[in-house]
Amino acid sequence: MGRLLRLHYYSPWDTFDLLPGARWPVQTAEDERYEFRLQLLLDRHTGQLVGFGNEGGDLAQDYPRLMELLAQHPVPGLYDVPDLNLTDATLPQIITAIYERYVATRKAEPEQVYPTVGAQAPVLQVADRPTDKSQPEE
Amino acid sequence: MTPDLIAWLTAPEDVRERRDRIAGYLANEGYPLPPPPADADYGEAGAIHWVRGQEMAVTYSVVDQSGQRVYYYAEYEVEHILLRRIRRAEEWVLEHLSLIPSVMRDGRVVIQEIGRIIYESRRWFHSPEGERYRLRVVIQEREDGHWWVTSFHPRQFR
Repeated sequence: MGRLLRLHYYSPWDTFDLLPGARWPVQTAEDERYEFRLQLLLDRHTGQLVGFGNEGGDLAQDYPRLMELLAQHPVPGLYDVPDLNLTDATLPQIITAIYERYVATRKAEPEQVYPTVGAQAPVLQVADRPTDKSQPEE
Repeated sequence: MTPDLIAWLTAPEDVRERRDRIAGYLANEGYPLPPPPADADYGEAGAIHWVRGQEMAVTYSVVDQSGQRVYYYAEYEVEHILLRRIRRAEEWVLEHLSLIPSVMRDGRVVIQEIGRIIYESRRWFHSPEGERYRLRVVIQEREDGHWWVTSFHPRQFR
């Protein structure tokens, strides 16, 4: 049985915290090793690895590189993440599950476009339908 | 009690009410939030920006050491800076929240890459447990070219 992690995902910013509980005293480590795309979170009292996060990162952009970095610098341990229905999962498996749930599904949806200031909305055109002005004048 | 604390802090729908509730909690814990930074530009305060499809109200902006204007948003502060620090039991850092502009202007650049810069305070600070930390500010570039603050967190200094 893996160690329990609770997922706190911050959508649409694509950052996450994986902690043993809703609140946990941690300090970040190894962020340079993972090019600031991943933080290992150590328990402040025991110094043990207890969680992960990517604060200040962007999983949508960082995911491919993060997988490369985790292959180069593996993180040991198996984890249970009930929020993702995962048991005995490795960190790459967990991050992939997060990516697939939150990022890949959003990318599959059409992006919402907001008009910029000064932009004109396209004029609705209706074909083959006479308007009042098209009626013959008396 | 801890899950209840987070739920209680996030209960109000209005972002100002949530901030007030968080500020009250922090004050009770001995970490009162500082007044807004005096060395920031409030000329666009209250302006609404769309960031990733979310409405965000400008609290202030700062011209950083790279010469770009960086925005600090009220909604993001509450959800991702204040609450994240509480979630990680790093409340003490929030006493220094008003240092964000000066870290962006005078701090050391830890990393600079396309769309992201991490600044770090040159000073170090003591946590309540006596460890030494530097304060980091992460800024990111939006799709429309504007920059904004996405993190304010401590990094242990050895």
